[in-house]
Amino acid sequence: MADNKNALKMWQEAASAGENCLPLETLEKLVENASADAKAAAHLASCAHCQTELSMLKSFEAAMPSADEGAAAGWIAAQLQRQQSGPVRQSSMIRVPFWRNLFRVPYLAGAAALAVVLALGISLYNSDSGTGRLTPPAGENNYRAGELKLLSPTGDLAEAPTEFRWEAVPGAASYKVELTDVIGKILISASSTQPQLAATPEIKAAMRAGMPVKWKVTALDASGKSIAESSGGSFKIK
Amino acid sequence: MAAQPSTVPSMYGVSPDPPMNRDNIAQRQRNAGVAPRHGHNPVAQDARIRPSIAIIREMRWEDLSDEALIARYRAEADKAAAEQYINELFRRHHVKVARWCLSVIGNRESAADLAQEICVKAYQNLSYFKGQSKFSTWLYSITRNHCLNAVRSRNSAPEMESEEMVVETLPDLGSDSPLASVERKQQAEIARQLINETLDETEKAVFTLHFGEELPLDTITRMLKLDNASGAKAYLVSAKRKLDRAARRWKART
Repeated sequence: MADNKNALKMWQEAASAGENCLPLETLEKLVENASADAKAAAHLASCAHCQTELSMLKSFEAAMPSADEGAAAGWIAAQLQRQQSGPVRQSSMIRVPFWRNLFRVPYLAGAAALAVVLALGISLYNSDSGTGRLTPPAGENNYRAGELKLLSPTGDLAEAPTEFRWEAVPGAASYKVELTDVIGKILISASSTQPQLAATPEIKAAMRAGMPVKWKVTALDASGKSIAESSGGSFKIK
Repeated sequence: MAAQPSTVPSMYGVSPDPPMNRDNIAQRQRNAGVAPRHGHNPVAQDARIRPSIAIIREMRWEDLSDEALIARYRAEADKAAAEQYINELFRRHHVKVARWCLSVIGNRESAADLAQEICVKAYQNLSYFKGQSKFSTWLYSITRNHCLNAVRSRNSAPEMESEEMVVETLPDLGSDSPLASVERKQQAEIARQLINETLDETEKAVFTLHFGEELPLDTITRMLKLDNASGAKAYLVSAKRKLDRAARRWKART
């Protein structure tokens, strides 16, 4: 059984993202132009993981839901539209006055324009009807996460890091630290009340030599609300 | 309504003011990601000087790419106008996010909760979008990771049936071979090659999602829309058989 467990770990590693696996932006470019990056295309042809990633990306981009999921997906999308009254608010197309639509119909356009110009002497150039304008709720205040600066580790490391450090954020009661692989799969997460975190054996076990590791820190206030977030840092143990 | 060519005759003459050629402007903005100035209608008041004739037409939301919406959102000083851009941006992608959450989670209400979390997360992190990819690809990465992490956390207990089935039978490239002492990393490289060369497209996807992404088989069945009786499990069994044979051949060669 021990051998089987070792075999399982080996196959799991083989099926996971490797150090040469392609980031999504490269896969996206290959979708648009397969010959744009010969090296990337060669890796794609040899990597089941990247092929699967590409397939999922294409699936996401497919605009229309299938018949069996259409109603449910539509219901969820409608929920999102309604809930957009929160941080992302209700959107709508600009509603165009009926008289402006006249100008979109070629055979009516000339007559309508002439009529408007002659009869009303008005140019629509500075039209300011405001009918398409959405009025935001009073007191709306966009939240944008502040930037949190990571200090170390970074770059290529001779051995596993012993500590993670970042700049303190005023008002932060705790920090959430997440280590992920290159495609965002969480390897391990931990928290700290200080702007540093010692690498425990569990954290070290989550990192492998040769595997790029991304890490991100989120500063939380006393209520657990995110008040600042780092962009992704990365390092690799040689 | 699609933008009309700039050669369309002007609808009406005007104006001592500089007239407009909106189509060229829209195209240039799409190319350059430039956020123009605008007034009450945030997509309606760009201008370019042409002699004596005005072409005035309403620019529609669909004339703006996602990236142009973001550029305008960032450049817009007026908060209400900026909100319109961002609302339109997210509205465009609601169905995509909904579909993906539904295919991963399977339950409509849970998928709706996940989709809402994803949209909020994307909105809060929009300042980190640097334009290195399309917005939809960036949103996909958030959707993908959020959904798959949610599935993993909800399925922390291993799937005993599939795990036992495969654990007992997956070939070991190390033992009984001249490369028994080969490090696991090298074995994994060989295994990657065997997976790619031996399995068909669906088997690769099932194998990758189950062992690489640690997703349960019922989730994979839904995600890949497999309609055979036993879903992803059948492909996993088939993949294992093929890999077993390929591993034996590989061992025989070395």
